Amino acid sequence: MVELNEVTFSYTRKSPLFDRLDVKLEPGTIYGLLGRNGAGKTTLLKLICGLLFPRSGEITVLGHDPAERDPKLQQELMLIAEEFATPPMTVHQYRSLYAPLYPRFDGAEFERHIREFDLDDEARLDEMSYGQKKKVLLAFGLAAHTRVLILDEPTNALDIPSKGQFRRLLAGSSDEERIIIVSTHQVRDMENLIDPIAILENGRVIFQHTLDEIVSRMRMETGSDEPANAIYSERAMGGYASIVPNTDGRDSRIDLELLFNAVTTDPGAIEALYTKEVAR
Amino acid sequence: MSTLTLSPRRVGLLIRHDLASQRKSLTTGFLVIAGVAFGIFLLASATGGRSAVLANTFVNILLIGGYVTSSVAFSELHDPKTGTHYMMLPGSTLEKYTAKLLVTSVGWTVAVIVVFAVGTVLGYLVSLVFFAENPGVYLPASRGVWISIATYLVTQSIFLFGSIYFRKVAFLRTALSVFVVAISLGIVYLVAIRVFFAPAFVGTFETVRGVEQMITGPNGVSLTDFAVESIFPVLETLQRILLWVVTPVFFWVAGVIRLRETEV
Repeated sequence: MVELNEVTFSYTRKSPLFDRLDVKLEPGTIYGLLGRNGAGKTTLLKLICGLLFPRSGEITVLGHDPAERDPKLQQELMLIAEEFATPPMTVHQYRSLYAPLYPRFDGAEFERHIREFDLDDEARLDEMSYGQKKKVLLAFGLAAHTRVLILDEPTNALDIPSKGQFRRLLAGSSDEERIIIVSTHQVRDMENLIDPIAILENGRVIFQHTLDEIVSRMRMETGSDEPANAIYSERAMGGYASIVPNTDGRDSRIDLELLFNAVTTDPGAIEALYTKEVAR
Repeated sequence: MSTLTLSPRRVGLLIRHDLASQRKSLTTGFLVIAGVAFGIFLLASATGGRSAVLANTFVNILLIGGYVTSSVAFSELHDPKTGTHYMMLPGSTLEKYTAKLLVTSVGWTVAVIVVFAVGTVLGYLVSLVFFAENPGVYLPASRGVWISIATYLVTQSIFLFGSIYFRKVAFLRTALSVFVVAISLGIVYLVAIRVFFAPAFVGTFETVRGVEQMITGPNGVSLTDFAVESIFPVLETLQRILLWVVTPVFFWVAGVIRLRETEV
């Protein structure tokens, strides 16, 4: 369990980034954390990892205060940052150097991931491209089997086949004990994978619902005309992409980008779908 | 308290990380040290085989190189990319500090002794061909060199703290801070002496003639004799405690606290 209670954090005294933020993340799910640039996604992840300290409030991760940097927690906590550094060594050396720090690290699984990502175990990290390095870190992070896995923009710089491979590997590595948090701008890469969806805006989680909750309350449609009952519409290829209340219980494909735009444009209208009974 | 958790196994793994991530610069540094030892050995052989120059070079490399190495020990902490990687490694604050401390103190000293000795062994082999006499393979044996080694082991804690405290140019900033503190303490001592021994002075810092006889203590004992016999040994003991105990313990504790409070 990851829990933030009334967390306040600011980089400057004048404007707090988070003001009494409450977040609760349960195991067994792949959380999608969405938000605009500067919304505080990376800061939130750093707070969860104990890399930054809250100015007030309480954070607990698996029952520990991450700011204490307890090794018992750290060996259950893996962050693959968007911007990262790799030491000058081979993939094999990287594994033998850092794997002993993670008690549930699965060497065979790591090798399998490395093969699936089409990487060479003897290749040097300092001679790899950014995308290749990222794949090594993702393979390591998945094989470490930490109870909390945090991925900040995991598909950035991955080529198209690697994105698909990553999605498959991530889906396969989810289990009942594990909390996976994926922070991303590239929502299309994460469609059908992240559930629930949390949207961060102006230091607050303005939307946090499971896919089931989303499809039960809204339907996403595309058409040449803007529907009369549309909660949100935007111009799309061939007309309009719209969100309308799901009044007849029919499921529709979730367009995360559309949902994100709707929530950040008019959070009140979307949230109203959850607070008032929708006529069916 | 999880900050003070200390597992020797994890310290060992963190030392491996520290050495592996600095492998290139350490290799280059040690090659330079071996090269300097080799060159100085040949120079000493060519100029009559004096070994004092080897001892001086060894101490200079140990101290200056060690302070520079200590000053960059935590440099990865101050870069968001390397800092994130380092701080996320499973290990308590004490374990991370201990790993860096061992690498930059005992590790550095042993490595310099070995590498310097290897350099002089190579120099010795070459000198057998070209020179009639040579100073012999260098191993630190004199008391003076061992005191220098001990001094390094305690004073490097200041530079290790500096590497956590200062984000950039930690070596120069730490050295400058030490210099400023030393000058400040010197001024304080000077003023204290001027005030305490006021009757012994004419002008600002000029002493009167026959100052030793002039100032006497409460029992008619010369104050300077009293100082030499009673105060100075106490001050000397205090100074030793300050150097050998207070300095390293203070900076080790301050380093752990500062590391614990560091955000990335």
